[in-house]
Amino acid sequence: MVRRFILTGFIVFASFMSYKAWTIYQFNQMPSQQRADILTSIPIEGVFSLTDHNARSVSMKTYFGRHTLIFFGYTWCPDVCPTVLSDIAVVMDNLGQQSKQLVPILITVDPERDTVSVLQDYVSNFHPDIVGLTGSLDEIAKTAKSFRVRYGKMYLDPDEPDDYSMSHSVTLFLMGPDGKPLRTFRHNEGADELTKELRAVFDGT
Amino acid sequence: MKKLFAFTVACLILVMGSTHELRANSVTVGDLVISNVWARSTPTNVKTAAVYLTITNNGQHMDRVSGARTTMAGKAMIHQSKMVDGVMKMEHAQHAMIKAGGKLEMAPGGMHVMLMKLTGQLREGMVFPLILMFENSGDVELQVTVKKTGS
Ligand SMILES: [Cu+2]
Repeated sequence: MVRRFILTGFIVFASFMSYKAWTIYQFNQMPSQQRADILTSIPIEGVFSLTDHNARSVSMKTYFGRHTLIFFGYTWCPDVCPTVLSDIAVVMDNLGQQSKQLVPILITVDPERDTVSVLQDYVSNFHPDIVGLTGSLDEIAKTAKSFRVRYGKMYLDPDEPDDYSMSHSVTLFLMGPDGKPLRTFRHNEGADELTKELRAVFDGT
Repeated sequence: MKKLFAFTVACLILVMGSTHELRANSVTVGDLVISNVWARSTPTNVKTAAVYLTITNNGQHMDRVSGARTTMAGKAMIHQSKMVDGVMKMEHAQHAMIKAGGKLEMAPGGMHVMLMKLTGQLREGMVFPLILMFENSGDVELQVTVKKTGS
């Protein structure tokens, strides 16, 4: 009796493990974009306690009552970050009155360079409503973890340690007026598509 | 008198506008046509920028961009922005090929000429020289038009 119980238990355990191994194998076989999409579809916690570009201490609560669109980047990023922020600026203009329901937020992954004053100068170049957030290395690491965002320093030339660039997740996170994650967008969705999707969210359709 | 003055100013603006247009226009070197050469203006403290452009090859032979240089930056190199497992990275590309009869587009989110150690801020409306080094066509000087940040 006991032996049979152990045997059954073992079979259940073994099938569960092989199922797990199979799903992991399948996942690893997927194209990287598809993998990234699945990873970003798992709900995130999405909390932060940081400093904004006006040197105010802020948290998710600060923006309760409005949707937030959160993007991780850094000011020395010459290509992808300014492209996304330019798209967001266009989206804000497109949304017109509805833009009052949305706070676009850039959280830096490079707090060593991106101080409050650097961020202030940076975000204002794109749109007056865009918020820039920074913090200590530790605070940024914690925030990124909470959004399941990965980032790292990349040295393009070992002889030039100051010329590093950052690798980082470029997912856009839309959070509801209660601060809970609603959905994500790809960085290259484009301003028109983003406007359409956001309008649908605001209109409740 | 006032009218004449206004007319002269209008003419000047027109002429200046059109030379600006010309400078921003395409450069032809043999079978290669290089057009739409631009960069975004940069914030005060930032020392990096990206130059975008389009190269059309109307010839029978491929050519490759092997590098770039400019007086605006201490360093210029060909970069490729790339998603690797959901993380965006910029990688150094040794070459950028333009196939025979083909077209190479360096546009936001992909390939660009990366400028590092900028010697000055890139401001909207500015035009600065950039030399592209081609394997077959040699060095080609281009004029980069600086557009506003939100472009
Ligand atoms: Cu680059």
